[in-house]
Amino acid sequence: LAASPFARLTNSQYAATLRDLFAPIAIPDQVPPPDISVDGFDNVASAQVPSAALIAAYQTSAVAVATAATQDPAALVGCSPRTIVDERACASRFLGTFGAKAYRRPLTSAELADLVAFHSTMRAGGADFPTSITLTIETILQSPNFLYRIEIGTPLSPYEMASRLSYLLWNTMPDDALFAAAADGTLATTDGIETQARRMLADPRAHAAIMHFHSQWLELDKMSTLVKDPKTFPTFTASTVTSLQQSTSSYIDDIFFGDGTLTALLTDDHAFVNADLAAIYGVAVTSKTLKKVAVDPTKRAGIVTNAGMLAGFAHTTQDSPVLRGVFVLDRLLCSAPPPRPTDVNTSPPAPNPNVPQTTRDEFATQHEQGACAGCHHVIDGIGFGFENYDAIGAWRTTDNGLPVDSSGWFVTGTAGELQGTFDGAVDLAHELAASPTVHACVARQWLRYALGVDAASIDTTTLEPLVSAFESSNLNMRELVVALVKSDAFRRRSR
Amino acid sequence: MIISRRNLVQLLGLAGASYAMSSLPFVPLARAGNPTIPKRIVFFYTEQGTRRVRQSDGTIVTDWTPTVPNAPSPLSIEQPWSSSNFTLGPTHQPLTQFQNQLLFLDGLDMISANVDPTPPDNSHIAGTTHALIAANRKTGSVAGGASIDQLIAQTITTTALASLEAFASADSYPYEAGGSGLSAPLYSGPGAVVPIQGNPMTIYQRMFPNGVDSSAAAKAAAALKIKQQQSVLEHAATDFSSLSSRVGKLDATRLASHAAAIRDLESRLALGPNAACAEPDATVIDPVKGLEPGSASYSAHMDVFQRLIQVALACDLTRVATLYVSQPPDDLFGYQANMLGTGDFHDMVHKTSGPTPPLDGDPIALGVVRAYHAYHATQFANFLKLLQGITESDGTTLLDNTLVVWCGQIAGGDHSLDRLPYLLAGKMGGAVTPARYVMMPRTPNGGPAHNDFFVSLANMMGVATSTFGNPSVCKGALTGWAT
Repeated sequence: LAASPFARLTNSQYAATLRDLFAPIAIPDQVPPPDISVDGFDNVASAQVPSAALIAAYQTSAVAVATAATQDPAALVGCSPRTIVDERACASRFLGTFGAKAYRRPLTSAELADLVAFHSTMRAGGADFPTSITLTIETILQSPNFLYRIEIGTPLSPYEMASRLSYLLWNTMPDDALFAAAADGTLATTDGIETQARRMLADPRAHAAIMHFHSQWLELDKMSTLVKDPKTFPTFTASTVTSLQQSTSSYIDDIFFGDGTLTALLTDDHAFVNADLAAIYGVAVTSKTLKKVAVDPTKRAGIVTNAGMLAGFAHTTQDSPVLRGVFVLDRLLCSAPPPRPTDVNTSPPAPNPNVPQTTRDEFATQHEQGACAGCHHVIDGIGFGFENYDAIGAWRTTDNGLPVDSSGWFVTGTAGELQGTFDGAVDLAHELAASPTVHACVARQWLRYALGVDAASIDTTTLEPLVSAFESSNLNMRELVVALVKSDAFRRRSR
Repeated sequence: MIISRRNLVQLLGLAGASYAMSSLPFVPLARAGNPTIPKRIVFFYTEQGTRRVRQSDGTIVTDWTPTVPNAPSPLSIEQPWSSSNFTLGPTHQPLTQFQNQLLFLDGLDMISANVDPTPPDNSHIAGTTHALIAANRKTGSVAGGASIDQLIAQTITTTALASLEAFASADSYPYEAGGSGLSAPLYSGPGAVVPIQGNPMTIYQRMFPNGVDSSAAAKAAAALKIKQQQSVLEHAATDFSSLSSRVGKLDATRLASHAAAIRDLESRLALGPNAACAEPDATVIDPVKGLEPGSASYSAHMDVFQRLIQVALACDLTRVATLYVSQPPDDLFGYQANMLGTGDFHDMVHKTSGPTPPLDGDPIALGVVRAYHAYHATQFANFLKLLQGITESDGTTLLDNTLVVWCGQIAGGDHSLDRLPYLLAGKMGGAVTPARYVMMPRTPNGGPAHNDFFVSLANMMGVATSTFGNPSVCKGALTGWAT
């Protein structure tokens, strides 16, 4: 496993951690500059190079948060000292508790003494007692012990493990129970880690964090800016976009926390549908709220046939065999095609109004020959399998008045899987679900996310035991996560 | 920011599959020239184009162009040509003491106005809707895009005010769009007029909504705040250092990089424009009080607005300002009603510009028109003096860190929109080298679009863009003029 520096809290972790650190005292939301996303993931530690803008944002944020938190000083620090001597005792008590929470581990006596001394220096330098507390909080919030997940132990210390678990499964700081499990040494054992991981996965806080992973793995952000041509799709409105986003999230959440298997994620024949989406899925639902309904299993199977996904990997009027094919190759097979050459025209082919063609034929004419074919034969073979879905993810049997051909082919299959041809996306989905390459890819995506590294950093030695555990659990994704947090790769940081 | 791993490697200038970004050191902002002082830009906008007489061979004679020995014809050059050897013309004499701060930028055309498919309501509006916007009009009198000042302002999010606009006239009314047969010159987007305030008190209150406490106690409190923030940062940076000694090289490098950025911020807190900032109390607007509309009121408004902009820039309340300099009352430059048979001064401007201007040979008419332009030059000089009078924390002046762009609605008194007379002043933190006359290459069809000039101004102010206004007339940032 390639070495990686300390992870810094991502944007969303920073905001959530501040919120939990001061709760129940409400603080203003803080948004530092955006994370640098590597292959869609926001937590790749090696890319977290500090910038001047980031450091300035941390300072502004620390001032805003600490000022808001000390509006009622007694409520925060828990004492109202009257003398300088009292102040010192009060500050020391507060900083010991607050500091431990902020650093996500108990302070050493030297660290506490240092913070108390800083407070006293500020006090002596002209700040009143509450201001001195505010300033001390500000420096804590800019300390590496707060901003980074400092991991020195080998294997990681119980407190370091508590943070690893918490940021993976909740995307925020540990709760009291996790701190307790660190304090009593439970997290030094595999069993203890498993117990905590299962508790955390069962906690409501896990849902947003698990979705955070899926939205990065499955590129759900493609749906955040959906725009479709109003002439081609007159019923597709802003409300449709919101419904599609929620429908896809609900589907993933339902599978992960319900059935739990990758097989279900890839082949399940249910969808979350409301009035906006009823026509797209061809079901009768009139409610404004999304309802889980059965869909035609000959037309839909799992996440790759999810309407939101299909609409996301499409253009404004036209579907996109290329975007859909690349998605499957990159995100499900971990075999991204090489980046497109810089000197090619990447606009989708313009339809010729005089000679109606299917999208497939338009792309085939342009791609399946000459220099393009090298990559596009691989991409389009998968992408053409989705031709039964238009640019908003609705089922179709004709395209431009011509019958749809949704047959596809595999180019890169290894022995016994993903070979030859397939017939449409439902067939493709079942092939993917049975593919060991896909199983390994999903394990790889979880590993890279959990470790905060890029996919290339993960070696076979690290990956293989996890894939075995995944497969022997009948491809249960929650079990994959449990196996992951118990693994050596998760408990020892490569540095 | 979303980048692929491959792009990330490229971005960081690293090749190959293995990369070690963690080892990259933090590069502090403070390098040569001390860019800790922000760059500012001010648009000094006047109404009447310069006097220009169009000769039969197509060349023009103006009072604007300085005398430049050995200047080639703009038609004969392919690259921008510049010279630091120039003599100010008659209307720029008031700027003599600032000659080494001036940059004459000659040869740009308002092409966007010429290609605009929507006809303007009149030939002044043709310029107003394009002078700072350069995009196709929305209607005959409404511009169809954001003006350059607003584009820049919209991307500066660290100052209390995105931008400041003042309308200097003989009374305290705001600039009324369309009220005088003209249209608004500033827009935040297509059709979205930015109001230009004419009341000094309104602007003062925008700048200092809570008033100003200039007491020694308030100053001491501000100084204490800076000192406290430095202590907070220093303590955090020390945390990084003490941790570094206990970790491996990869981690230590990352921590050191973060600590360096903190120390950089710490040192910048003491710098910055605050050191040069003296917030005035509300008496700064007293000179305009109790004056009837007229030349005294006009001069007082001009002076107060210039002082307010000076303070706003020095205190970093904003980095973008526009001073709309309306036509001065006649007596400030010697025009008298019905002089030489003219209806008003505007009429006299027309009769001294164009192909065969009837009053061109008249020494009195020429004298008045030149006096008008010289009066604006005096106002410009006064403003430059105010900017030069502020010393920033690194010893440079506010003018050194500002670019003042004297621009206007039209190019010439004949409503022409070619060879726009841009007179620039200041160095904008080193981005501009003044004390030069710069001529852009032209063809018989015209010169470069002023859009491209604005692209380069936007770039200098930190806005990453390659087009401005109507993209079809843009060729990218104008090069070869700034340094």
